[in-house]
Amino acid sequence: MKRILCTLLAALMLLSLVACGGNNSTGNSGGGTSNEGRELDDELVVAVASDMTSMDPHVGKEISAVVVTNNIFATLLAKDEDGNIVPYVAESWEEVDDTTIDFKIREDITFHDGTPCTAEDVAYSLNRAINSAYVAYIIDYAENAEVIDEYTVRLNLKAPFLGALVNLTVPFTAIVPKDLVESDPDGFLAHPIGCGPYEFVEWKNGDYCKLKAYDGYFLDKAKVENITFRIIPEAAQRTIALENGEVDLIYDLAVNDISILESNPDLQVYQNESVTTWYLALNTQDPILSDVRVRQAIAKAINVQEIIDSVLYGAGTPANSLIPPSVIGYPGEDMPYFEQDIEGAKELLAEAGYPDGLTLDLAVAEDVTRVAVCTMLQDQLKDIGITVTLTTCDYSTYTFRANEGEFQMMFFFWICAAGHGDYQMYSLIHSSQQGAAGNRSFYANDEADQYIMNARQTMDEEVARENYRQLEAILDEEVPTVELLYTTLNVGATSKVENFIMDRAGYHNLETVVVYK
Amino acid sequence: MWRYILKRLLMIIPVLVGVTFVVYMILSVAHGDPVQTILGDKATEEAQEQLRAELGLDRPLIVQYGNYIWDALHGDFGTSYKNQVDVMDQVLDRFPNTLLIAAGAILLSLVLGIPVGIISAKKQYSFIDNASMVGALFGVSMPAFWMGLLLVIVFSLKLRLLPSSGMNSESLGLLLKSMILPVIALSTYSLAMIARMTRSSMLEVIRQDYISTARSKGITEGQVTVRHMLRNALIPIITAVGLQFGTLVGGSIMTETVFSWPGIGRLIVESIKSRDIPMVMGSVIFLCVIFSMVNLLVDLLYAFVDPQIKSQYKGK
Repeated sequence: MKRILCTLLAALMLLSLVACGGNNSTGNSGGGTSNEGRELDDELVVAVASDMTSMDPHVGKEISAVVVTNNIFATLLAKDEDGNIVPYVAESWEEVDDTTIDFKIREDITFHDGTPCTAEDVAYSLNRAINSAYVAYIIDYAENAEVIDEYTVRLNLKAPFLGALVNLTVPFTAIVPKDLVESDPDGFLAHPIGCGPYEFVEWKNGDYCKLKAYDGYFLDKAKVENITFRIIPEAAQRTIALENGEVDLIYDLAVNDISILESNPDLQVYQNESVTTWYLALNTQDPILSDVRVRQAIAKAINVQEIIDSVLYGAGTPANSLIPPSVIGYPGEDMPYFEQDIEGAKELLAEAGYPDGLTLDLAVAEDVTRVAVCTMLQDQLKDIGITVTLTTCDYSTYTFRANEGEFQMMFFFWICAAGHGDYQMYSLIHSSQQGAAGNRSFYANDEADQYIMNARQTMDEEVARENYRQLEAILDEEVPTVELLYTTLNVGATSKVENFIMDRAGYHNLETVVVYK
Repeated sequence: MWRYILKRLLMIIPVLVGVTFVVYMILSVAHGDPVQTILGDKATEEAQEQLRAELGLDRPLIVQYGNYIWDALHGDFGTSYKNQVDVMDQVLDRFPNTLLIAAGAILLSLVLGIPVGIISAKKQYSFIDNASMVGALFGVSMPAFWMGLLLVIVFSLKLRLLPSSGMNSESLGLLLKSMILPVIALSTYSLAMIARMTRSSMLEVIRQDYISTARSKGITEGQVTVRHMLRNALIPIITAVGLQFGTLVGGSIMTETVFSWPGIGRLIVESIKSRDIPMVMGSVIFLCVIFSMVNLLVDLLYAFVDPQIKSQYKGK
């Protein structure tokens, strides 16, 4: 299977991105929001919920870090809005064989300190990511990266892998300057240098982080000259700051604030389906939940649409797989959804020996919306005779206890950062991943494992999909998890902001954004 | 006097040992694994074990604590688990921001609280007295974060006069402007406390014989109030102010969160959430020292106000 994939100009990709970008804005386009004839502003202020963890792309994998570093660093490949893989630092690539991919690097790329980016830097960066305890999981399907010539890099895979290319679009595989990182690692952390659209200016811990457009960027220079990320932890405060005009964009818009923004002609809401799945993990090793009939009954008790309409103010779509629809390997919309069937659920419970109902615990990490969802689940499960005791704890405690198998039912969410089904299924279902690695249902099924491995070890998306369809059929019957919904990503903006493109994983890149005075 | 100060300074040591021990143990036995918080769910076992060994978290708790104290005594408070920055740098970076609003709040409380207390006491049971005491009750009962949100709604959202959040240090004017709402929100409780304390403490001295004597000497009522009443009523007020200041420095967590103020309170909360033990420890030790110093300062202030206490110190 030897095929040469595209030599599309990356600039073209960006143009297409720009063209699609505005479509997501569901905001108010009422009177006075046209920006025609207005002067461009040279500063964009973005409110984010938490402080950056690390400016090193091979360390800071949290969303709070990536929303910043993603603008400083560039990756080998990128994704367009439809999820297609397009060139970025690499202008083309060739699958030499099942486990070897050659990348041709653009020759016009410079880092923010002016030094050129060559195959040395790219190979070094990929190897650094492979060896990083923080982010290796996203790229350790590769054995190593080696330099072929000044502008060619070879990636040697351990085995064929479904996400071999798409994982290289994930910001944790970003390209860093080899000489600088090696000679002065601390200096690099204090002042990160990449080859992305924006250069780093200043980071004041707990307060703000400032970036400036890089003149020598290898694609079109970013539209807004300066960006300030302001850390505002409270959701209500972010909305107020937006209403007040103190910030231009707010990530993590609270769902109950969507209507406030929509009713204000000076504000707009960008919405897009995310790659985040909310689901219930059912501990299959629990004495009660090890009975598949109880798990099936739980799935039959739930009415997801009701939860979406009330708690999420409509910002979500029911799920029929742990894999979100926009992701490689999604089994398809024709796969069955769990549907509410109170009588059927009661019968199952009676068969399982609980004609008079039973008591189960449901755990969730502290978060207003998620706790509200669990309260509704508690209510819905009551209808089939299950009394739910709700346990809420802080995130660290919650994951720790869930990893130890201390809970019966757990509310979890999983962001498909990599953009392929293996990221969900291998982590959440495969028997080797029980506990901390992601499988908090402690589920083990050889047949399911086999389908997961078949889908994982192929580069053919259709083969993967077919395997996930088979897997989904097993999961619908066995119910180790109950997939609830795919969340909607909500970003608030003033109407002065245009061309904002949402990334489904939340790793928004701001190079296309314009803001008017 | 100096011996007394030295003795008090030395007493900070057992306090610090006690506080650090309790905090360290609670953080360590609390659920949640720092290694997993740092590396994330998907790191390999090996990587986790390696980091655990690097951080010394594989050793017995008491050894970990001992090592920590030993390093701390050498001025090394470690680096943050969460973002690998030096703990003391970070604490020293954040503390002035907290001090800024705490000092502002205590100043506002003194400037408003003491006069309100005096007037209330002098006009006991009048309308002014009742009104200010109801106001004070309101202030004491009002949670700071709620007060903060109300202030933001009125002054930022409706009137558009002041920024809703953040610390703007671009110029002094902007800084002062961004301080106004956090300072008001933070001072509500202490203002009310100080007003009530001033009132009750003034009421105790107001009917003393020496006040009548002072009046009979023919000096003005203002002089009687300030020199004879307030000065004698000052001890409890100073105690209240000292305690309030400590509380303001350590207890501005809610206010700092509501106003996105980059202070030490928010740092502690965020660090606790991410099980960033070195950062929590560094901040707590720092606050503990500050708190102890303020208390010492308050005790010394007594001596300046009350000659009787001064003579007690002399003997020590």
